Amino acid sequence: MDYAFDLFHERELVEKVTVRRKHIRELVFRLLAENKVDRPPVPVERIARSQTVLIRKQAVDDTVSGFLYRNISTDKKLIGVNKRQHPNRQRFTVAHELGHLLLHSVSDVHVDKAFSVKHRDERSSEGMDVEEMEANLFAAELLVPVHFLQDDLKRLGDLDLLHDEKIAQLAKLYRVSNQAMAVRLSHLGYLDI
Amino acid sequence: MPAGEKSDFLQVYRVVGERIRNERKRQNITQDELATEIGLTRTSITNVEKGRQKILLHTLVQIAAYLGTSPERLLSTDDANAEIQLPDNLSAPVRNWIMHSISSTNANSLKK
Repeated sequence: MDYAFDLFHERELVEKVTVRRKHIRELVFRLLAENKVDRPPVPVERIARSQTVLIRKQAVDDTVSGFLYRNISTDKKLIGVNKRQHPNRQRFTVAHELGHLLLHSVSDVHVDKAFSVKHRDERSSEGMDVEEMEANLFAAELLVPVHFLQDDLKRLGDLDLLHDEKIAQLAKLYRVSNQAMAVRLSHLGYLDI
Repeated sequence: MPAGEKSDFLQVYRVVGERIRNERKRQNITQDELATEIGLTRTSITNVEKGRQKILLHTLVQIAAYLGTSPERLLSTDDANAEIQLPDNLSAPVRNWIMHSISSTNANSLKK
């Protein structure tokens, strides 16, 4: 039940959203600046609320991670988070759903299954895959902003010596799982995995 | 009450009927099947769906239960709320959580 899955999947499909990569990063930078966030951990819930999103948490079975709802007539926005999952996973859920909200035209309910890779296989539409990918990319950018990471890596010293302990230290600092941090570092070219 | 206003209220049968029809068709349930399940004739189902027959409260409850939805949702005057379609393969607790969160959100917005 780890979202490193999602991030791995993102890497496989990365070519398909090259166009939006810049847009997503700029959007994240703007959100961080508007909310005066300049260091990890990124307060994802506060940032979501700054976009007038309500957050509802409940412990339900592990089949879903969360959902996004937008009422098109009243513009009420709601993110539901499955409280049964690990706090780091909950942060990812909020970030992922916020990504859908800001990037895609969700006009009703969007439910995210816990096993999103399996869920993807069940879907025929490639368009949906791109939306999931973009939401995952948004989450990765928001939870581990590249400019924060650069500063922390400078502080931690030699990048060639990124071993498990340093990765765990970074993961703790950003409140993401070790796997997610490893994938993010690899993605940004700091680590070979 | 002016006549026009009364007929406006009767619209509710047409709206509820349409929602029942949409939900039934979405799930590929036939009128025959629904009729058999709740003990009505197929013609009655047709008439309920067209709003020509005034649905009884307990029939609404039965139909909602068979379609896996709630009478509130079929009756809702908030169209955005009524039209919410969740994926089919969600567990009942998940479904309830989502529907309840959404309706409480929309209720709060009405109070304001």
